[in-house]
Amino acid sequence: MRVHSNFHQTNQLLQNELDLIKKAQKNPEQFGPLYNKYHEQIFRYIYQRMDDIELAHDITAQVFIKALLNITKYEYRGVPFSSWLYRIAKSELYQSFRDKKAERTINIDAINVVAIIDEIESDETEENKKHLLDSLSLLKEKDIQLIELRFFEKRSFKEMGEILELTENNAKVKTFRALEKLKTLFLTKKPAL
Amino acid sequence: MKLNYNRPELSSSEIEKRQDFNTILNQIKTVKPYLFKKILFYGAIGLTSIAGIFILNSTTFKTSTKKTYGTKITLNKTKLPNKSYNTSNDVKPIISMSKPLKNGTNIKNEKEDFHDEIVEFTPKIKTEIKANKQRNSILPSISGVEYGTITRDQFLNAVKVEIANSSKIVSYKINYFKISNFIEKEIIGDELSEELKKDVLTYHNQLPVSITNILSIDTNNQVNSLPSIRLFIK
Repeated sequence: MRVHSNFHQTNQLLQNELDLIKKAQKNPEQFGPLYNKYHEQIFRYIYQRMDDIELAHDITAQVFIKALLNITKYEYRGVPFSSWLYRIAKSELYQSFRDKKAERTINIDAINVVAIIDEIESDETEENKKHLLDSLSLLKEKDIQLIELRFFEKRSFKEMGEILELTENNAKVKTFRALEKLKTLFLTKKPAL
Repeated sequence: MKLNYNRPELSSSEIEKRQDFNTILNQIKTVKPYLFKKILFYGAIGLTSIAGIFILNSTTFKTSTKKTYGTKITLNKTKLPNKSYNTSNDVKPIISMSKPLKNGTNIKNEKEDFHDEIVEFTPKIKTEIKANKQRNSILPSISGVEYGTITRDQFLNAVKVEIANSSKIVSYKINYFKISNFIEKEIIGDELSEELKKDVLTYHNQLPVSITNILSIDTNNQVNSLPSIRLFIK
């Protein structure tokens, strides 16, 4: 499976980003370039998991406000700044679910359905596609998160690990298990023909 | 959980339209940091705590000083058997009692005694101090020991719970450990029986022996409660 490569940055790019962060730590007005760079990514991450566009924009703004308020505490760990932003986004997003401001939504398109059906080695029939959606909604939240990050958003295990605060290998193992659970649900709950 | 299939995707330009860093910056300026995150808050809390500790310490010091000089008076309540009895003499440090022996004069300012020159405790002075102490003592004792270490022989030779003045001890309780049990016996009178002493010496097992609830009766038939005796038999 092909993954998006925007997470993987060269050392030079990471260094340039670090310079921007240091400037922002001294003066919040210097945060602008980082905001412009990551705004769309963070918005998409949030909107992917809900179905209210206005609320998604509000939560995105909240993420950047929190990031700016805590930028002085940020410590560089050799990974892109986006990892830190994603963690804030995840926290804000799940807070909105807990507060019942937003409804947890799985947004899936036909291409992703096909990709998952391929992973669980089944046929691409309309019936199977519908059954896969039903099986997905039966998964636990932590497994859905892994499936979304890996198969819908095409993220690398390294990036997944950074977002979910896991090691790369742990992210790999957990994703494999989540897929196994989906496969089991898909096969056991399959309606008889 | 809601499930959307093939939801129309938002274009980058649509998302970009909502990018507004200035609004974020303005919101930051309006968000005041929480009080507990301010350095001033921690500073104030810290200073208050330090001040509190100082005040508490000074109060405790004053209280403990008062206790040291006042315990004996409080415990003996109102009527003391000797009419001419002076409680302050009794609780004064020994060094001040030795001063009249050296100079042959009375000390007027007791506080000065603490800063006086070192007094040499000759055997004569020591005997005088002991006699003075016993004469003035309102504390009950066992073989002259009011508190602390007592030898086995001193304990064995004791006949009764003593008090130096003309009061008479009418009852007391003795507490000691016997094997792993805590024994408490109430004794009427002031006598320390041979059986009791033997029992204590056999079983106390290096643990303290306490003589409590000591009641005395003075010449005016006034019943007084006396301080406890806590002994470590060596």
